[in-house]
Amino acid sequence: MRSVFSRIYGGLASLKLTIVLLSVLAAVLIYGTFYESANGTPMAQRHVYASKWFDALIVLLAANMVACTAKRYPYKPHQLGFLMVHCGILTILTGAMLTRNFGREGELFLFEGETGQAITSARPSLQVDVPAAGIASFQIPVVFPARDEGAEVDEEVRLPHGAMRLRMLRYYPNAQWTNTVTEGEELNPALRMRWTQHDVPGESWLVPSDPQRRSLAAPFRIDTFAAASGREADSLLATAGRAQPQGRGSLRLRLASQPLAEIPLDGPVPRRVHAGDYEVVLREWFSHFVLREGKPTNASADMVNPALLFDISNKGSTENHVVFAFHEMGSLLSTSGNHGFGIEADYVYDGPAANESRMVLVHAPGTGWRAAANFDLGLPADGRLEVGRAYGSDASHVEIAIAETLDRAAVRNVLVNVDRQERNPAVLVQAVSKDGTSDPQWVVAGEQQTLRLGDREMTLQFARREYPLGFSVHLVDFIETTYPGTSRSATYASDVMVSDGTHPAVPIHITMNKPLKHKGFRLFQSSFMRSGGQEASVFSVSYDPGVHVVYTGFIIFIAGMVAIFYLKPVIRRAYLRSTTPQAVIPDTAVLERT
Amino acid sequence: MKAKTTFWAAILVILPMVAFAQPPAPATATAALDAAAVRDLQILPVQHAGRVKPLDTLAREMVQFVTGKRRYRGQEPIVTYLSWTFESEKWADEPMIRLEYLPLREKVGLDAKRNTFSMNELRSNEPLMAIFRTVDDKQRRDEKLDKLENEARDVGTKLLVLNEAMSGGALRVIPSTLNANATWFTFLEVQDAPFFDTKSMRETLTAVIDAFRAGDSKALAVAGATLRTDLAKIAPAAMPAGTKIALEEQYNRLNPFRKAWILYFVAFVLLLVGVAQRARVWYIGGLAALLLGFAAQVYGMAARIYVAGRPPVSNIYESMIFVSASIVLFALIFEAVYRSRIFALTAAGLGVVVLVLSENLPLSSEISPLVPVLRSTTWLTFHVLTIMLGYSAAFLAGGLAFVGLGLHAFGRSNSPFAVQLDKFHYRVVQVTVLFLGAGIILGGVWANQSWGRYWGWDPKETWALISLLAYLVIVHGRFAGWLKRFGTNVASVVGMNLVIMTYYGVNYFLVGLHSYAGGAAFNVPPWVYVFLAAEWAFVLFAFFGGAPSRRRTSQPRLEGAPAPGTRA
Repeated sequence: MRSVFSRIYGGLASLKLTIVLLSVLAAVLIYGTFYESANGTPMAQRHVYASKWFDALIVLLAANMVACTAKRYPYKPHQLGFLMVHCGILTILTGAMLTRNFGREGELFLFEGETGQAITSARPSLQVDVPAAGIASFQIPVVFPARDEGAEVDEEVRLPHGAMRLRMLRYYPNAQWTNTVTEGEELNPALRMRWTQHDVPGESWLVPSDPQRRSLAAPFRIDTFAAASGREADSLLATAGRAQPQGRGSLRLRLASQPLAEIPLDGPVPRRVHAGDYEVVLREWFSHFVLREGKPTNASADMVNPALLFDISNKGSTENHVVFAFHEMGSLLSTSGNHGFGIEADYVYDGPAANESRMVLVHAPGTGWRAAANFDLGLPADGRLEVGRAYGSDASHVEIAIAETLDRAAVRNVLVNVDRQERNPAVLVQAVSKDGTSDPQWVVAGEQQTLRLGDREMTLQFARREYPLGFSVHLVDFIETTYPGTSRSATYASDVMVSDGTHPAVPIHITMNKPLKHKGFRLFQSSFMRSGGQEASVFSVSYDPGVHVVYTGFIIFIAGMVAIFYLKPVIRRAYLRSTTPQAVIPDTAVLERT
Repeated sequence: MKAKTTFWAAILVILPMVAFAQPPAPATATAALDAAAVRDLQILPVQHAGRVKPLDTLAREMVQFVTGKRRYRGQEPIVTYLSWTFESEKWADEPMIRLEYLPLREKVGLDAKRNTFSMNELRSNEPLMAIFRTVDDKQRRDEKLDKLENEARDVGTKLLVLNEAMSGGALRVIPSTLNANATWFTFLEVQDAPFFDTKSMRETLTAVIDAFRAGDSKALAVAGATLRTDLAKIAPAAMPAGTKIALEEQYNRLNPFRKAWILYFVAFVLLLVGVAQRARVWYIGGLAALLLGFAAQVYGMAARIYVAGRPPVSNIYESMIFVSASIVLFALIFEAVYRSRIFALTAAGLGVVVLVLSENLPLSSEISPLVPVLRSTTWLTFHVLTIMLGYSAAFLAGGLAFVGLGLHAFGRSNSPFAVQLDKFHYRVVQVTVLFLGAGIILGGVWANQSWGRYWGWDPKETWALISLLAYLVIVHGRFAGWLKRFGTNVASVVGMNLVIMTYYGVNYFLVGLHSYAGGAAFNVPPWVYVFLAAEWAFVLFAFFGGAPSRRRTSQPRLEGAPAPGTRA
């Protein structure tokens, strides 16, 4: 028995093992960094740095260090540095263990005026509830490779009490619901248009029956129609050369992002309209707005640049505005007397501009798709386009082609992945038991879904976990300062009020490098957000009971290293002098001896 | 192409001649202006990119950015820049905008044989404009750009900068009296800044423009001086200290880091001759050149610190300057302690390499304000400076290891010099371990102070740890007796490569929190592979070529190995 123990101890205390372990650790870390850049940080954390085998490697290294250190007992004074360095590293590892097991990290997101009492975890996890099986708030981490196309995964998690399992099938790091066109049941013509404009490719489905997919604005205006007969198709194709009479459009007013009124512009102008507490006077309407000698003038009756002059008045004060249909920027131009009603105005006009390049595609039973354009696009005289063939003209640098057509198209809402940035993760899950499997179901971050398997119902919540802070933080003001003459940020800061409920609230100023420290928590200003005229602060929050231990380890380690490399000869000489007074100590330079 | 040519020229030892050669005289009328004529305009304070700088600096940055050259057609940058503004009609067809990236030129149908184009050529190129629109759309949607689009964006920014220069929109020289943080005004906005006598200001400006266009040095000097004094009177409180502006202009003019590497190069040659000739005079001359070069570097760094008002830790360029200076500093200290010429020689060589790289790699040498997260100065400064000292020691150790491998290759591995060199080398390895260890720890302290997490396995910090582990393997390997002289040298070269990966490669291959230090980089330059291949070819050559005295005649005790009789 004893020999086995001493053999293990001897092996553990071997310096050669140290060298091997250090080399293996270095190799593993190199692998880890490349693994991270290929699969994303959460994957690397889960499968490398926080994995069981990595822990085992660190524990082995620590055991090796302890054994090597213990083996050299009793120590001579000149071994002080050696002892300190190794104790320092062990202290650091102990502190790291405390941090990992008892520490907490999270985020606090507050708009100005909001109060928060809890932090949320940085990543969402799946929370499973199966009341019938006695499973409540079971947490499952969702960590999968972040890839552009999403990742095929196959991971089964056994739920408590053994009866059910949850299978994860597919993972999207940045999911988004989108419409797509597929083969359906009902008669519903559709076509997929492909184009290049200055060698930049584009592609889109066009569905005449769907108001969202009827028309395209790029590469030029394309309108599609489904005609009932060939004759109707002919008359629709003939409209390609003319602007469609779409009316004048409307004026949409919003107050604090809430709809206030939508005023149609067809009808007499000038005219007086009431919108909530406000009075709107439509003063002058233009189909082709130009400034001539500084005065707004109507240049033609064509819809080239539709614009509207109007006034808004309330309690005796009046604002004058100008809005344009085709110019989003500066749609709210105050000509005089802006009283800051905070009203946003938009000229809403869906129709084409008179001078716009335009193509019309019409589907009719029997004749299929035909096209006409108001500019040279190299279209055949009868308007019949071959599928897959490119049409275009050199002058406009545009080429178009019909990639495919569908007679029975259906528009469906499907979940697709946008890119590999983990912004809005989603996971496809399935409940499994010995009775069978449930239908697969997508769960998107922030959503709740229910799976049914037999008579059991499983509730899934894919959300960030919340942890109470134990006190509350109220954001009074977020302050950003910029470098002179630029919009480049120099500092971020927040004014907050902190209260425990027992004492009066305390005002605290948090800056980029001066966190709020309270009850073991530290709140760091990590970033900010602006949305709808409001500012929000994002604080990263940390609770770390291991940090002081780690810092102690840091100090011991550095002091030990200095002792090893630079003080050892001094200590050794002092020791020799004290034990053997008559010994002759060669007086070489201190640095030359180790 | 220029950057690469200069780099290889340095390697081929013809660089000093290139640096001192006079470029051809420019063809424009402004060539007649003498240096004194623009002196007052050079130190005209202008608000740009978040700070107030001399107009000279703005001109240098913009000329470098647009043309890719320090000087365009040999002109003083300020002359070029003022000519863009005051004689913009001359420049619209001048092929001076650098477009290096060949695939982009091919894609948009520009002449593949040229790499500079005129403003009008680029503006009338429809395909390029179409790519600009795509880039614009993508940026608004916060999407990633591919390599081609990134290059196109750079060209677009060059066009914007040039356009701004030509319209005078960048000359924010009229200080605002409102407060210290307010935006200054350009001449175009004079009506918005009615705090002074705009009429006389306009007259002075007209005088400057007329004198400049006529190439009248005397009149320009007078008008320039008047303009500067008049502008300084508007808001004296908003003006930066005159010494600061003057020092920055002097720093620009002296270009101390180029002087430093030329001196290091001279030192290297003298010390090399000294090794061969064994005459003291060469050594003293070499050491003097090394010291002078070091002084030039210290001056340059001090100037940057004074101008920026912060430690030199904001980007790779500044860190490379610091690394080369500390390599030389370490060498000088070791030189003082051991009196071995090998330190000075190695450091001179490394100093040249690092400084020439810093000058020729596509790095920004501008002094620019820091992003908010880097503004926690204390711990960040300690961290960066310590870790940079660690890198410097690693490079010095690597350099010495190469010398040791060279000795091995030529059968001198058991000469007394080789034994001594090994001791020196191991000393430097110890310094590396100390500073790398301390640097990583201070990085942890900074991270904890800045976002509450002292360690997060971020690629940069992980690689710093990997480098440290490599040097710990050397220390333990020596102690266990596994690593002898040859092995230590090879391990030290490995360590140096890992440090290079940590310092530079991580920004290319891996992304992480530290990426703001590197900027967006995509392609590994081919010479990196050439360097690695040459390095390992040399190691192999040393291993197989060092045949004659492989049988050891004497076995002196290795530094770091336990003394005979002690327990391992």
